[in-house]
Formats: sequence, structure tokens, C-alpha cells
Amino acid sequence: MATLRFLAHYVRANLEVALAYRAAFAAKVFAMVVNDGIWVAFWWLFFERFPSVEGYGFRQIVLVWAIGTTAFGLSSGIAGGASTIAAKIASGDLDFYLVLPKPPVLHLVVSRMDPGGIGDALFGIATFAFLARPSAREAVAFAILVVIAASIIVAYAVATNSIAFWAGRADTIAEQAMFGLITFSTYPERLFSTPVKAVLYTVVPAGFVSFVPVALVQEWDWGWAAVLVGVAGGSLLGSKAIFDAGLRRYASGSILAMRG
Amino acid sequence: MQDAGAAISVRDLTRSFDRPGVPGAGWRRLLPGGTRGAPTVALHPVSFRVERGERVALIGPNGAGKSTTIKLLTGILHPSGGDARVLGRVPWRERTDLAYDIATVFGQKSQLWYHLPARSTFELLRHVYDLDAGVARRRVGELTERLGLRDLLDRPVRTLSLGERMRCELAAALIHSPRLVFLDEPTIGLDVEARQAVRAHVRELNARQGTTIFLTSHDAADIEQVCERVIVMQAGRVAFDGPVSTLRSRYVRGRQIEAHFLVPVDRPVDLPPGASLVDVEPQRWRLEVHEAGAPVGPVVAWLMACGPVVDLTVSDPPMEDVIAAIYRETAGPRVIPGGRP
Repeated sequence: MATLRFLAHYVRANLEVALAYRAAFAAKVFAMVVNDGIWVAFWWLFFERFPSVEGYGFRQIVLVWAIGTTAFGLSSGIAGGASTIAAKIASGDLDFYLVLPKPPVLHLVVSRMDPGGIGDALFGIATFAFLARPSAREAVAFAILVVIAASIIVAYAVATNSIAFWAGRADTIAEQAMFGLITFSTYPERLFSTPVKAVLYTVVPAGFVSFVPVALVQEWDWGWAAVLVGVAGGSLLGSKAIFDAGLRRYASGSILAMRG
Repeated sequence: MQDAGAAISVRDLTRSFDRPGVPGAGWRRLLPGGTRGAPTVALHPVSFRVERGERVALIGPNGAGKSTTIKLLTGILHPSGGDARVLGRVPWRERTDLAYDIATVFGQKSQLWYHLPARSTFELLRHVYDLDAGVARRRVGELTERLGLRDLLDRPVRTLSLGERMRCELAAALIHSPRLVFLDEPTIGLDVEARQAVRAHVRELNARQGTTIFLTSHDAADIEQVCERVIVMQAGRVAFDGPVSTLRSRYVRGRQIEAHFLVPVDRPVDLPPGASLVDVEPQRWRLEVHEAGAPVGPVVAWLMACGPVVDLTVSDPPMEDVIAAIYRETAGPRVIPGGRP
């Protein structure tokens, strides 16, 4: 409970920082909404000409984008610090988090919010509500599934950023890994061959971030829901274990720094 | 077996760092890491002990191992070997528990949120340290009073001067009433008044609450005015460990005589035996008389004969000179007799 209060307070403080420059915050949110909107407009035009591709129609694409953008938006909007871990490791900037009595990885992931993530999440929720026109059951499933998908994305970011403990500079690797996850998560599963799917259910977990949640929103399956929860829990624990193992190699630094 | 009763107990602590890889030739350039050199030894086996309530300075030239030592004692770094206990805990294994009892102030790193008022950071730290709202309010009130923060708390940190910010940093570090405070260059970049204020607050913290102080600094006044004991590190080893007063007499053997003349006096050609010129201006000479305890009378008489002296001061060498003398010793460690083993 104390940890939840700590997290809630951190998110509030991040929002205060973001709102200290309201115009910049609003511009970033708006830019992200426009960026996402262009993609959905493209798919709308595409399906106007080809109503079905491999059994996929416009509503399925809307679900893919709604779940994807909301999940990525929540992950970077609330836990935007996850994608900064590699740079902090390389510059020896973890010291602050290591001398405080909270798990450093938890503290790090909520240490920053990305206003663009708020734009993503707003876009995803609006798209789901107005273009997918969900039933009540679908809306409840969506709300639960985007949180689970977001936690898998955060775990993935922590794990890929933690490579920096061993490789030194790994921010580019982590960034490319995240771009890969985003790219694969915004296309329908049926477009991919079996070997590629094997990668997307393991190394780059687009299957659990997008494909399974999209299927579950359309048709609930307790078995797959349990698998998804298990994967999310395992990913979070696994990424924390990787980070903690890496900490033993942390070399700190003497860079001058200010926070947030 | 380490002593759980000491504030800090360190035995044979070592730390090495891997050197960055040198890229290989040709296609090997593409491989991460490259050729690794021998690790850099930041700390050779180091041992010392700090009692509860002591005020100890850790000094040495850049790269001597001071920051590495503090980072090992706060659990930021894992050691390559040896053992340490801080308030009875192994810092790198019990870092989270230890964090409730210690505080760190890094002069070069801020824990305040740059765009928010200091009060917001204090509120966040209340949740970080799981402090009850009433306890935190009282504590912030106390610190506000003692550090003079009343007009600073609600201003964004980015609008504070460096001295004001450092007072807020101190308050942020002390909000959970730590029993041991590590200060790494706490006065770096501050003006004279702000430095004095920081030193006074640290002394008061020690006197009022018995808080153990462990400080690193290149500023001689930080050491003289705050600490009673000093540990000198050179090239990753403890070269001296003893009272601050002993440090002066051990490292600089002699006293200084400063004479002010009524009129400009020509630079002297010959000096009395055992004396050397430290600094010469037309109306002010500073000499050093070698070997502590040597009679200064002949040198004073010689000065009087050189010109009309209006003022004369005989003093121990300033701590700045002592530290400079220590830093000049780059040939390797020199364990000074009289210091602790």
C-alpha cells in the first residue's frame, strides 16, 4: 500500500513537472494524437478499397491500434523512465535511486513521464470508444488488457535497457528493440509467417502486447487470459532480476546532474 | 568479524573497474567490447573505523578513491573484495534497510526536482521514507527553521541560487533524521557565506543529534571547521588517519612568519639559516621556518633589520598548504607514524 502511494505521488509530481510548461505539454500530446490519427486514416482509406485482408477488416485494425496506442501510451506516460535506464547506467546516474529505500528499478521507471504517451493513450481510448463501438464486455476487457499489455512493455523496456550494465552504451539497442516491438504490435497477426510469430511470442513480445489482447477483446478466453497474466508477471519479475543482476556491475560516475 | 557497534567499520575493502574496451582492428571493430585492458584498481585493501557521533573527513587528490569509498559505503557500488559494515549493515547487501538510517549529499548531484518547489520534493521524500504525515510536517518545520528555508520552500528550485539550493538539499537529505550523513563535496561551487552556512549546519547537526558525519572535500576549511579527524587517501590507499591537528604538524614541518613593512622593501638576497621565502610583495613578506619548534627569534630579528616592520604574525601553515603538500606526494603512499594503522 505504501508503495502504491509512493507511485501515485510520483506520477502526480511528474504531471506537475510536465504541466509547468503547459504549452509544450499540450503540443506534444496533440502531435502524438495527430501522428496516430494519420495511421488510422491510412488504414481507413485502405479498407475502403479492400474491405477484407486475410480475414481482417477495419474494426480489427482499429482494435489493434486502440490497444497498441493505449498500452504504449500508459507505459511511457506513467513509466517513461524505463526507456532512460540505459542512458542513466552509461552516465553513472543511478546513484540517486540507489541511496533511497525503494526498489531502484521501480523508482526509475516512474521517474519520468512522456507527454507523448498521454497523447497515445488518449488517442487509443477515443479510437476504441468511437470507432470500435464496443459492447460493455469489450470495454471492460479493453480496460484490463491494456494495463496488462503496458506492464509487459515496461518489463521489455527494463530488460533491454539493462543490457547497458554489460554492454556499456545500450540506449540505441534498447531504442531499436522498442521500435521493433511497436512496429510489430501495430499489424495484424495473420500477416506474419510461423517463424516470425515464434519470435513475436518470445524475443519481441508483440504477440502478448497486441495479438492476444486483440483476440481477447473480441472473444474472451480464460485460458489465454491466464497465460497473458502469467507472461506479464513473469516479464516483470524477470526484468527486475536482470536489472538487479546488472547492478552488481554498475560503475557509477562523476557527472554533474540535476533532476526532472 | 566486523564491529556492529561502530558507525562505519571497513576491512580490506577493494574495488577495481574494468577499462573500456579498445576497438579491435578490421572487422573486429564491429564487435562490442573490443580488447579489454587490465582493470583499474580504484581501492587497494583499505581498512578504517568510524565511531558513532564522530566527524571524519576523507581527503585526497582526484582519483585517490574517496568517492569510490563513499559509494561502497552507501551500497551504490559492490566491492571487488573485503568487508564493510555501516551502522551494523553490509551496505551492498542491505542497501534498502540502510537507506532509512543514512543520508547522502552529493555536491555535484541534486535530489531536488529542478522545475518544482523544494516542498514538492520533501512531500515525495515523505513517501519514499514512509514517514507519517504529522512527523514529516514537524520535521520539515524544524529544518525550515534551522536552515532558514521559509522564503525558499515554495519557489521552483530552478530559481534558487546555488547556496539556497544547497540548504534545500541538506533539508531533503535530513528529512528522515538519519544517524549517519555522507557529504561528498557539499560546498563545491558555493560562495563564502553559503559555505560557512553549510558548515555551521553540519556541525550543529552533529552537536544536537549526535549524527555521524563522513565528509569528502577539497576545501581545507570544510575539514578544519567541521571535522575532528581526517583520513587521507592516496592512490587508493589510506596514507594517514588521525586528528586534524596532527595532520598539519606531520605533513608540513615548520611555521610561517608574515611581516608587513611601512615602506616597500627590496627582495632579500640572503635568508637566515632554516628559512625560505613563500611569498614576496614589496610591503609584505611571508617566510617559512623549517622544522616545527625551531626558534623563530633569529628570523624575526633579521626581518626587523630588513626594514620598518609594522606588523608581524607567526602561525602554523594554513590547511590549504597542508593539503597541497599531501596532493604533491604522487610517488605513492606514505604511511605517517602517529596516525592510526
